[in-house]
Amino acid sequence: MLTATRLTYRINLFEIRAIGIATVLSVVVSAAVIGWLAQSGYASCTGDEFGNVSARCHSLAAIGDWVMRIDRTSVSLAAIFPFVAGLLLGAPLVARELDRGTARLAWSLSPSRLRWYVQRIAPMMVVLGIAAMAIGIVADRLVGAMLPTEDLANSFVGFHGRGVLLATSALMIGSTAVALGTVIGRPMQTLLISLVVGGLLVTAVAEVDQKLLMPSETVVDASNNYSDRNLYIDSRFQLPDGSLATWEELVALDPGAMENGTNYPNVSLIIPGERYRAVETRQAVAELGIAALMLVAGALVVLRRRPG
Amino acid sequence: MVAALEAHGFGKRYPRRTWALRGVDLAVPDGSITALVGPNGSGKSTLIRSWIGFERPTEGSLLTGGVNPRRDRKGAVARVGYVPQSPSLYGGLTIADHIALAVTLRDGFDPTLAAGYVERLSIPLTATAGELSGGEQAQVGLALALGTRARILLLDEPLASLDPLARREFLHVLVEAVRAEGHTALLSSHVITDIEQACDRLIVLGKGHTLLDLSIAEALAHHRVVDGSGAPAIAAERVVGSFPSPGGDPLTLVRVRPAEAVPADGLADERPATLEEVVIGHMAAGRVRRAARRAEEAA
Repeated sequence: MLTATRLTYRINLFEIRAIGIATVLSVVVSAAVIGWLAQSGYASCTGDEFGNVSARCHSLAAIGDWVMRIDRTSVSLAAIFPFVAGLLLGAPLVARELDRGTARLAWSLSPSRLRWYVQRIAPMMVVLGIAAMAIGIVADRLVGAMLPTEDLANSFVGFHGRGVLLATSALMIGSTAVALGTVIGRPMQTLLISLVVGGLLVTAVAEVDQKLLMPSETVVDASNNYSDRNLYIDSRFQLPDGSLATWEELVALDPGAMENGTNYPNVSLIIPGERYRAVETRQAVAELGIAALMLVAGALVVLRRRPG
Repeated sequence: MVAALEAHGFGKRYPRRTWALRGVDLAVPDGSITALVGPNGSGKSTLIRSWIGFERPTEGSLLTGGVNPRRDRKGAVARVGYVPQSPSLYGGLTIADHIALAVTLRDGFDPTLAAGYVERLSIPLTATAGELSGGEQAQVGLALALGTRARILLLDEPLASLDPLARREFLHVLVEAVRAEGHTALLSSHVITDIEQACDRLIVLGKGHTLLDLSIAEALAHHRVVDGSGAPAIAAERVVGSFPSPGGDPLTLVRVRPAEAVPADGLADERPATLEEVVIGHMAAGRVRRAARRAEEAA
């Protein structure tokens, strides 16, 4: 298995190097940013009621603004890492072998195509998982460095853009690209179609979770104070009997509300930040499940298809 | 005769296309080196790929070392060493890596044997496949197929893009290995001179069906060539087909019974046919029959 893993890495050297270098660079830069912010305490620098900042914060501003900018950019880039890494490592994995005919050589040597498939997929998924997990942890720390007072274990700040969900999204997108590659057999077409399908899947997991499972966890926030800490779901109008109504339902009940405005209080439906870990775990498991299904589908195609 | 490869009423039709092959019945004897010859699009590659389980028959059946590749593809692949027209090696891997890869993919792969064949041709094991010439890549493909120690070798036009020296070296290694191990080889090729040197049996495929299936010795003994396309004095049942000589003069391939040195209705200018003339004559006949069939269908 060690030889097979080594050869798989050599066959996909460009992609492994690209993702490896991107990950290491990201970790190094982020470590520097996080270290500087933690040491300087610059993230806590805020003005008083008149907007005056302390002399210490003022002296740090020249560097601090840049560091904060790098932090924010890094967090934004981390959010797209699952797509970049998943597509780059997953799309060519089988598709290129079919396109270049090396699958034909391998399948003529190996009575078990499944063995070949596992030899290709397993090492790459490990690399993808480790790289995306590293970026997920880094993104978590970067958000924490920007918001030192925020308890990120109980907050939806940066939801989907940090932590374990980055790794599971990357694995889901990567597996989708692998499965599509077994059918399409052309790397570039696989990459483009996987980009669309991967995006749809990430959205679908969040949407399905929100529609099916989140309603049981949703609470009414009468203060209507929007906070990144909670996951905002929707807003409603609260009727005198305490029940909630959408705008359309309200207009149907009280046609005057359309013309005269409404005095009904507007409330938010939110998932409280305390539920972050539960929601994150649930979506991560869903994404891993889809990833596993995609890899099984890819294996079934490999077992049946012509080598090109 | 024990057959290593068999086709029984084999037919293959690709989606939305005409039949690539239909009604093919043939057997490749165990221990033979058989040449599979035919015009482009005659279905040679389809037939070879079907024996290794890469294509599924639309009708009929195949046997690869006694195993039906449709029902037991693993069994069929395990009995075969395959060399495609383009060896399609991994450009970034060294030859030693390819051998190591084969070991991970196939139980019983003999890396020493494969490396021995490669080194005999002065191909460095440390060279990457991308650095090799087409001929060297073909040799590596053959070495990998031989390293499987499979009893049956399927070679799908491996000589097509090779220069004469590379072709000669390839065939030398192939023939030596097959003879030494008592293997069976099916070699698809257009190069008749190479076939004559390396093979002991000849199968000519027309567009989709078998035109000739004889040993090389029989093929040569059973045919003669007459100058002129008309050859009116020859009995019609003896005429195989007419085709032009390299100089453009018409020639006619005729059948003879092996015992006949000169047939009863033989002409003075009859001469022994070369293997190339046998093949071309049958291909020309196949083309005429196909044209007649088309005209019949159109009518």
